[in-house]
Amino acid sequence: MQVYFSHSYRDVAINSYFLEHFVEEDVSLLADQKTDIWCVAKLERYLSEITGFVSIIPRRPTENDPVAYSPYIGRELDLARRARVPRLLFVDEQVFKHHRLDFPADAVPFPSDAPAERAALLRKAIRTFRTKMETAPRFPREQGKRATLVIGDGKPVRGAAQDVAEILTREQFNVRQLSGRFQDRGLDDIRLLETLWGSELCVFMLGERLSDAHLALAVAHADCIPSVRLQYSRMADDRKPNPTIAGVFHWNNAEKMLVEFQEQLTSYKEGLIRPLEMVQQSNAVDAAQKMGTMKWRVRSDNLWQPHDYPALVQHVHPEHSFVQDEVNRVRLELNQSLGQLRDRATSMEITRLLYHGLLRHRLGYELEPQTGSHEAQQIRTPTQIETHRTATCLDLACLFAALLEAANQRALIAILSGGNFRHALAGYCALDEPVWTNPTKGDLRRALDLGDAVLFEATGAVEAQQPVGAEIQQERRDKLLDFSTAKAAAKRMIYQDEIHLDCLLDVQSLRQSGG
Amino acid sequence: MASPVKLYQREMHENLGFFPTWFPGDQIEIGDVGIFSEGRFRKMSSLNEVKIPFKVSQGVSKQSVQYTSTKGTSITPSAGAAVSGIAKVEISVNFSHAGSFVFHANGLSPRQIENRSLVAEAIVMAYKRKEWKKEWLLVEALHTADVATIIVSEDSKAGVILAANVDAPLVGVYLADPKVSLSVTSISGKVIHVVGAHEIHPLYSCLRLKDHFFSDPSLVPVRGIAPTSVNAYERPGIDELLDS
Repeated sequence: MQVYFSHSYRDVAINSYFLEHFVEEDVSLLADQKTDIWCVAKLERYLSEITGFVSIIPRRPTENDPVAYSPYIGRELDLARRARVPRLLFVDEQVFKHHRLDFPADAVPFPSDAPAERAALLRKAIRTFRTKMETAPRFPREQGKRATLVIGDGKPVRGAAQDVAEILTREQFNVRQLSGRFQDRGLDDIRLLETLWGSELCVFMLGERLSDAHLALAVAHADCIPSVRLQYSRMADDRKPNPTIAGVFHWNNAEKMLVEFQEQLTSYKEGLIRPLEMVQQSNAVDAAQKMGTMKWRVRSDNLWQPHDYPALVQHVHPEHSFVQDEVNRVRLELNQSLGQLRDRATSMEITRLLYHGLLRHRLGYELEPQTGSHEAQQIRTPTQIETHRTATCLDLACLFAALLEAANQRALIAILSGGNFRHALAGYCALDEPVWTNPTKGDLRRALDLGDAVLFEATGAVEAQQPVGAEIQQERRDKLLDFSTAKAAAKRMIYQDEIHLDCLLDVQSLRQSGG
Repeated sequence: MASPVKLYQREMHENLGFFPTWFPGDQIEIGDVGIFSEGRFRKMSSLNEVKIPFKVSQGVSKQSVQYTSTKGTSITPSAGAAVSGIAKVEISVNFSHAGSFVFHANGLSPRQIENRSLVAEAIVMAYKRKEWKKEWLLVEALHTADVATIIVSEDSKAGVILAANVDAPLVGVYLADPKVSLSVTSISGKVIHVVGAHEIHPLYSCLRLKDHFFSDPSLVPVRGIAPTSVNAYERPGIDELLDS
């Protein structure tokens, strides 16, 4: 009995609460480790192999909907409904109230802030679900190591199809290619359906015009057959996210498409993790945190040697379009060229607007991922933060430094340590403040005291369940800190007795000195 | 080995970033101009004397600071200090290291020169008129304390006994409590002290114009995003004060 555990990675407290119940009821769960690859084919594959599907659906507010939920969880649920596997859904009661028709009638609402109040009801639902799974027959689809490649219309599609087939062959698939018109029978083409059914994996290469390949995809989609969807589109560069939540990767460059396809295949073949065993090895909170720490493709330009402080400046990317977009938004809001604004009040206002701009993205905080090496730390670029929708304190400090630099401010990154932790804060130096030489903790305290510099808790701009820096639990409202609280939290940390200033990086000064 | 005063100044600067005024009761003012000499700020002139106008911003909040050297200081109230009805108590401050100190300040508020860029330009003009010396430092910010007690030991073993008139039990020992009247009853060893002093300026910070600004004959007012004003000043470090 294997149950897929669909959950929101960043809601560690809720996840750990439910994990404990599943441990009590001995329901064996499988979960997908958080990664930067959204692979719908992998989900479809597991939905055809599992006994049941459990989903915990918490609230995930957006700018437009304070009781929204993750569209990715929504997609997983849709796939599970399509695959007709036994399911158990726990939905935040506010989400359930406002989006009732998105969920099947058997969904169980729960209060996010105090799920224990309904512990008996939730436990009973889990027990009933377990009994149902133990008795429900399942008929897993028979699969060989066969892949069906369905090739749509258009020269670019046909041109790239042989490369896709070659990759499948190298991954030990027996590839069957389907192209052209499917004998004009459309949905009546039972041989097509049987071919798709008999495939472990289908790959649909779709042209810009609607074709029989689209029709074949519809058939596979309706039956939850594991499918990679590759859509040729001249406008692919504007597509965000890509792949879409529906799992469609839009491409206009064959080389990039093949890279993405290879990554989709790698993800497809990866196994799931076992949360209950992780709970038994440590505890529910630790297990939920580990599941929620993203496993992502690290490039050499993501790596930083932790004590090479000047090298941090190479991780500050003011040129990235995400940064430029945010700064342009602030420029429009102030209705002035940012280079002309030099006074301290304006520096503060620009920083506040940048901070509040990031708040609206509702990104999530996560702990630093494991690199397997103590000598290197991974730092996401602004584009990766936007794509992954998650960031560490150092990712965010570098992101804010990039935003401030692009807004003609003197960005600062402070690396602090104390006891058993290290932490990064972001901020700026007033434009009329002299360049500091080997600044000490005292210099920083003086500067904060006089307004010569401003630091803030960069993670306050992203959702975190627990305090990350020196803020207190009550200060995180809706998992976020407002700007003035983020400043107060940073100052509080700087004034802690045991804190040590490992480095204070003045980005502009380092750039000027060729750092 | 560093002198006791230097130990005090370094530890204060490393933790608060300001230079501690020496002697603690010296009245340094914002806009004062001078040099470091023998570990002290020695006033040579002031912006007012050089007729350079400047604006001062006053910090809005007041804070209390209780700082004690990391080693060698103990503060002990006499028995009964925490009991109501006791009107007079004794507080023993003992030092077991030269350079150990107590710095308690109440109602500490900062003031700061606001228009630094304009002042920088005026200083360059004053230099050209031979009314300013390159090496001069400008007191650009300082803290005023409503009440402060600062005691620095210059001996490896020293102590001060303070008498405190209180109308309520002492909760903790805060030597800058405005409701407590403090006086020195006895001293052993060599200490420098101000006790319960009002309206003193125990902390300050300095700026100096960078040398190349004096030698640049074509200094022009800041335009656009040119970083002229950004780099106009530099800050003297604590070593400069201590080595003076």
